[in-house]
Amino acid sequence: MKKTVKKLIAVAGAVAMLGCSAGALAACGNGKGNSIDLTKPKAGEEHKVTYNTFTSVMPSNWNMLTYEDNNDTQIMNYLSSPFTEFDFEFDEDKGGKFKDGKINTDAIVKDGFNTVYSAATKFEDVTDEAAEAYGYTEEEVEAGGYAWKVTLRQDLKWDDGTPIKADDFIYSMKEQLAPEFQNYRASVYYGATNIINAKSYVYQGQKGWFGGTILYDDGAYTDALDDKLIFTLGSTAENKAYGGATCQLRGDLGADTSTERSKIVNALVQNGCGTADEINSLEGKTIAEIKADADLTARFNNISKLYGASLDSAPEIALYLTVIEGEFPEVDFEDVGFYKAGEYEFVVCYSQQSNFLKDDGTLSYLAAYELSSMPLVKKDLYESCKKAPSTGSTLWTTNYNTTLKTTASWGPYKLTAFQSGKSYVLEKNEYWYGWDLDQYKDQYLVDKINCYKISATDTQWMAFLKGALDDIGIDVTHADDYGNSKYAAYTPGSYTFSWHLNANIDTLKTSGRNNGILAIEDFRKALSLSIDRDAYAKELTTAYQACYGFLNSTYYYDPVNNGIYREEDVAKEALLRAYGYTENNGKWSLPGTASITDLDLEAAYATLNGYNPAQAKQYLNSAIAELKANAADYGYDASKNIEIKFGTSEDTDSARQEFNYIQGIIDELTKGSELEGKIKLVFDSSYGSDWSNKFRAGEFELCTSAWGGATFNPCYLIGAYVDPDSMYTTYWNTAEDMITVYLPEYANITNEDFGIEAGTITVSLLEAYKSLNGVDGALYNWKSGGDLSENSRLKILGAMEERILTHYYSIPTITQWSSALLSPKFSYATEDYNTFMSYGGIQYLRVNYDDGAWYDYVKTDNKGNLMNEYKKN
Amino acid sequence: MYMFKYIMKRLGLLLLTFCVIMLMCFVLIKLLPIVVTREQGVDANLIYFKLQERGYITNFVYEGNLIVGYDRVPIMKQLWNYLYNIFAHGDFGIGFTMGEYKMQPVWDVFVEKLPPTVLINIYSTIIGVPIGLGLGIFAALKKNKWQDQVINVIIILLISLPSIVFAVVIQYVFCYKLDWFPLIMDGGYDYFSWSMFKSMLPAVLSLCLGSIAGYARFTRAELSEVLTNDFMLLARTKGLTRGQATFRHAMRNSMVVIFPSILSEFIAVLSGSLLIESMFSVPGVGKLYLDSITSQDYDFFMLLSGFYTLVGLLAGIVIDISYGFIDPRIRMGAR
Repeated sequence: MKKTVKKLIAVAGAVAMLGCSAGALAACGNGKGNSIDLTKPKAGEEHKVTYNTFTSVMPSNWNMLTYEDNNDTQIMNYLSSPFTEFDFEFDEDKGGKFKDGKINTDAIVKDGFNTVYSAATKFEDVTDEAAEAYGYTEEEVEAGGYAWKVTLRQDLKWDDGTPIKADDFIYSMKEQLAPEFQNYRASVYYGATNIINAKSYVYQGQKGWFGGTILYDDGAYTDALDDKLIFTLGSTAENKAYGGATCQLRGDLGADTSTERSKIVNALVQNGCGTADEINSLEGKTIAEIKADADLTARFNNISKLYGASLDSAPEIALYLTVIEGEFPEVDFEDVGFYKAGEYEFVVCYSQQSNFLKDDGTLSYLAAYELSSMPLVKKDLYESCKKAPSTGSTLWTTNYNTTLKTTASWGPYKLTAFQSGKSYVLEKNEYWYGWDLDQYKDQYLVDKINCYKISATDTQWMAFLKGALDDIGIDVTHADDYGNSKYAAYTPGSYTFSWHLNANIDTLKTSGRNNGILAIEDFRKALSLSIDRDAYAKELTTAYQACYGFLNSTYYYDPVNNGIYREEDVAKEALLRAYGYTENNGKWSLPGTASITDLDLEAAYATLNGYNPAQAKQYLNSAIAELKANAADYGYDASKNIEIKFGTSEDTDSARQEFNYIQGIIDELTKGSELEGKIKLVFDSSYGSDWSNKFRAGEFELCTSAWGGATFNPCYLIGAYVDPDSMYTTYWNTAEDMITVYLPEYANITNEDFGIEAGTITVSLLEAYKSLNGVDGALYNWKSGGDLSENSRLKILGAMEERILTHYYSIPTITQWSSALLSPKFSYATEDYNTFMSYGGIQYLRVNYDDGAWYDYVKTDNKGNLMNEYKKN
Repeated sequence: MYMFKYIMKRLGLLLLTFCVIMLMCFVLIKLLPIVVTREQGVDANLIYFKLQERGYITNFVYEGNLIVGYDRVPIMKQLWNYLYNIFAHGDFGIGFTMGEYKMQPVWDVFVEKLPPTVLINIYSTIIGVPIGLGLGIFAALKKNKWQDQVINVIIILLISLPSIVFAVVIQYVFCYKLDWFPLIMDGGYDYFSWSMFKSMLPAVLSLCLGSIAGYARFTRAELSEVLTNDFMLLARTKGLTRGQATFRHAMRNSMVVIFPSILSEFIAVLSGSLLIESMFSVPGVGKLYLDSITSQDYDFFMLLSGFYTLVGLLAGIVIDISYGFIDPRIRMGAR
């Protein structure tokens, strides 16, 4: 009996286990399968066109309000539509855009572009109408370009047929900026393009300790704050009682948050602001207390005279010397520069000027660059996707546009299948307005886009060679076989890779790795001159190319006139000077190189390769001499090896390869010198996703990274190297590193406060960056369309790049180029890469075989394998 | 009754161990530094605000417009909130930092990704166990004959190579060259369709070849030993045929060692095979746990830690109890 019971229990257990597994699996749904196999299309579907592709990382969040990386845009870009967009320019003499109802690819103008309306029908400058409500000055109204009315098409619809009107955009912007969500993309609308009060709306209610000037500007000061404003000169560490906040004065004296209070006091004493005791007596007092005591007031004014102000003449000066605990004030959405102007019209009000229209009323390139879209979510669906904060949290979240059920589209395609971590399918959205427009005739010929997640490179290639995928990137291992294929297309990217070096002697001395030599400029320069960038690119990549500056040939400083930064004399001269060329009466020479003497600019530029081992050794010897002469200053111990830690986020083959290559460069550089065999790179992949912050904190000395994007705004990208918010080498104070440029616009001006002397202007790198981009609080109006011509902006940019290069804190090495194969099923509209349109993308893709014909082509004509076809040159 | 007491005692210990491990996991992951990566054009303060509003950090310090300091919300307070949300609302949280699963409820993702892993594991066991045992029995019965030698060579070959090698060979030969199977697992959720089963087979075979060799070697060794025992001679002398003696007596005795190994292998594969899943694009849980640690995604990490801890602890109990079922001489908890 006992035995039977046991058997029963055992059998029941096994059955339950399998049953549970099977039940769980069965409960997971009966979604339609999606096989990568190339199968014969079903009857009636032979003439459909499917584009099969793959991704290594699946998108997870294609919500315009919250998406975080480019991965998510692979779905998002198909589900939305632009107000305006770039288009190829077609030569009318060759027949224009269409010929016999088809795209006339022969008429595409190389490097040409147009800007055209899509989801919008009109942009209108309404600065004068918005002036009163949003505080535009008379000058701003006269100049125009601050407030823009966007008129929408009246046939915009969601993929279920629901109409889209101006109200939807207003709702979406309000949700985008909603402080209870802290949406990741909110800063897009108060960063590069600054909608009035957008930032204040997002920040409202945030609490903390602040420097007085951070929470309140001059105009916002009132006596009521005096009880809360506390005088302090302390550092972050010393001001723990004030949450670590520090006052503005410290920064203005050139100190950072860690500079001890005593040093600030000394600086003030030396500036004649009183004795140390007098200054110290103010510490911790509120402004109300200081005002109540005549002696304290006098002492305060003795310091505030540095700003040319006193508590009597300009009481708001109190903000500069104090900290305050408070919160960002509440802001009504009505005060945000974004409002409805009609059923199909809304107005967006910027704090800076933008010229979206040319003088003739047609769209400028900026219209497609800065005002091509605004956030848009489908209201009912978005509301249903909202999730209230859980216990202990105040953050609202949403899963809008993260799954098939929560996705809405108003673009040319809609999502019809999605499996997390596996695959997705996009099919034509029948409600898209573009299908009925002439401008989209013979475009978007692909009916369906299948995307599979395939991580393994070999699997990707096998699928591609079997005809199951329509595109693939050519990696190093396949470059020899397919690099010259007639199906290969090469695409320049904007990203430039650089080595970043820690040259901060303070952190180098405490690293324990005896590597103070990195703080010597000659050593860094020697490293730069030791890199054979062509060989570097060939060794480590498939198609990347050598580069010598931080901005490559994809950057347009003047898109309207096809002004490519790298092709301008200013940019070329900057590079030549940075790599040691000298100029005499317009003739360029490279000292020590007989063959490069007295060449004109073009000829000299053609010789530039950044590789000069002989000169590198000279600089190395000079650095060694400096190191030995001041060993104590550099914390150098000649009996020990020099270790330079190479930090990465993970241990990958490519990181190892790069590491070994750099070690080889260093070994070659030091050969025959006193440091031969003594400089060791140390590989450390333990820094994970926080690697960049750890580099900034000085935890390791060498990293490689790339900056790119914003190809129509090189003045913005240069900020990646000088703006402390994003630069890697944060030990470098770019607010104090000055450049001097002659600007004809200021030829008749001399103003010491503004660093201008008869047209020659001296400005810090950081200020130049801020002014060129119209950042709030910038000293000059140098944004495109501001006080300077594009040529003057170009000059400043060249001077900035040269200055950054000549510090060798960051050393550019290679620039992004990718190569990819496109299956014979499709071809691009043009063989010439166009910065604005690439090769035309899915929009202009030409179809050579529909699904039925493609099946026959692969299976019958090529016996199921296209390897030989792809190898054809 | 003693068995019941034993199980209850083990369950009590399981609960205690589980709680201690989970507490350690929670505290340790929360002690890691919080990563906020700066990106040009994105206001890093928003990420700090979000972390604050999720209840992780508080008391910001601003330097200029940048947040440069904060305090952490006490970890025990965070733990209380976490547990409260689970028990009061069944809310395991949402993905926060892990690339492919941001803003997605962690429970939903987990439940969606577990079935392919489980299914491949079940298929692998269903195919692997009988073949492995069969080969092992056959080799034991033909010990030292040419059949045994051939099987041994195959076993050594299969055991020596990691499953990724089988995967490469299977994918290249059967999927690419011969075109018998798709290169990767089909998409969709119809896990019981023929097409889906066929698309899973390359991954299943890659996983089970090693297991087959393991089972065969184990079975051969155990059975060879048992077959030489005196009781086997007794069984034959009392009139049982060779087959009866082998299956009723020898097999049962050797299963005392083999069965727990089958169970533990089944459980081990629940965690998924990172390489096999990656190679055949199986949307399973293989990489999920590792990614949750490297991305420091608290909610994913805690759910997965809980799951694997629980599975591991339960497996220990089940394996221990299974001894009693297989061999009546073993009495769990008996004094």
